[in-house]
Amino acid sequence: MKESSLMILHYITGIFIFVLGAIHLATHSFLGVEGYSYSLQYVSIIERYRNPIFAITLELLLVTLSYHGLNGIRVILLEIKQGKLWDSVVNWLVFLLGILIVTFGSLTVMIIYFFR
Amino acid sequence: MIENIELKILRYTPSKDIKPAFEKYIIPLVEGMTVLDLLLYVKENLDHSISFRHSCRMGICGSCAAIVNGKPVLTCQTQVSKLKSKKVEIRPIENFPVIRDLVCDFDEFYIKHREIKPYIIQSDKSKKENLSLEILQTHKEINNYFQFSLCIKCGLCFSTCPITSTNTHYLGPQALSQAYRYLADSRDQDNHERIDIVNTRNGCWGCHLAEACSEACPKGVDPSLGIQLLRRIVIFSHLK
Repeated sequence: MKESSLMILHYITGIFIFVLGAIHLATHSFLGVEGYSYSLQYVSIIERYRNPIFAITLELLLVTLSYHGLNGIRVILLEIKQGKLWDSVVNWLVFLLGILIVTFGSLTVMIIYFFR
Repeated sequence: MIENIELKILRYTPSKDIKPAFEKYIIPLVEGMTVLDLLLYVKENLDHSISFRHSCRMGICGSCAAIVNGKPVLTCQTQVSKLKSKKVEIRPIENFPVIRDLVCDFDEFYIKHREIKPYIIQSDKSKKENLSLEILQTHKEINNYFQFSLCIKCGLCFSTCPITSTNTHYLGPQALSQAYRYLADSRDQDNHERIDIVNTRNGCWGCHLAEACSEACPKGVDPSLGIQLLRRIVIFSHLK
């Protein structure tokens, strides 16, 4: 993948994180039907996680945050040291770490949505 | 009473010296003297062995770049009176291997400059072969790249860039702003090769926007702006 493609995605995910993060925080506080005082109670959280729109938003936030954060770390690591082997190791490690984080996060979102 | 200037020059011959060391000279100050004049005074009257580059003495050739009192400047364009100090310290520019005293090796710098294909690429054969043909441009088209065409390749932007000092593969502000200069030129065509060269981590995406290059440029060129505009060209060419 060309560096410009990775960076375009980086910028887009940055905007997405801003929007989705704001929705996420708002849902947790003043947008919640249970009110601000009870918003962080176990029952309220499980109830919210079973809402399909909230679950989709959470999944999107997980993917965009993982990409944006890991690509940032990749860029830092590639600048610390140079060389083809280092580049390749960093790219693969970050890619695998991304898959791991997204899989684990998605499983958590799905388990709560379907089984709780 | 004649005012004296204490000039300290960082001297180093890699094949002979273990490490660089300052040498001190006392020079009578004459009104209108530039830092280059101080160096020439030393060369002519005090120490013939000192090495430095210079040519035009009017900020056009870009050969006399040095670090004067901690600031990257062209010595021919720096008035001693403007330094507001009776002590002047001269070092060779950073991020370049020293050949001797203030003379640096520009090989790597020019290799990077050549890498971005610093010339107009014409794909139209009839235009390419007709040497007497003029390709007209509007003022707006010229303004797109004009300031970047003022680059004299003095190396000061390259010398101050924090990325260049940590990543030897990074193309550097000079080469990247020149890549923009040619990509923004309406006469330049078929430039996907140049875009591919700069569309890398060591190309336009390596810049951290420290803007030290723009601060250092003695010709008023803004290389960091050029790199940001270059990123825009790269992104839009990619989306096409």
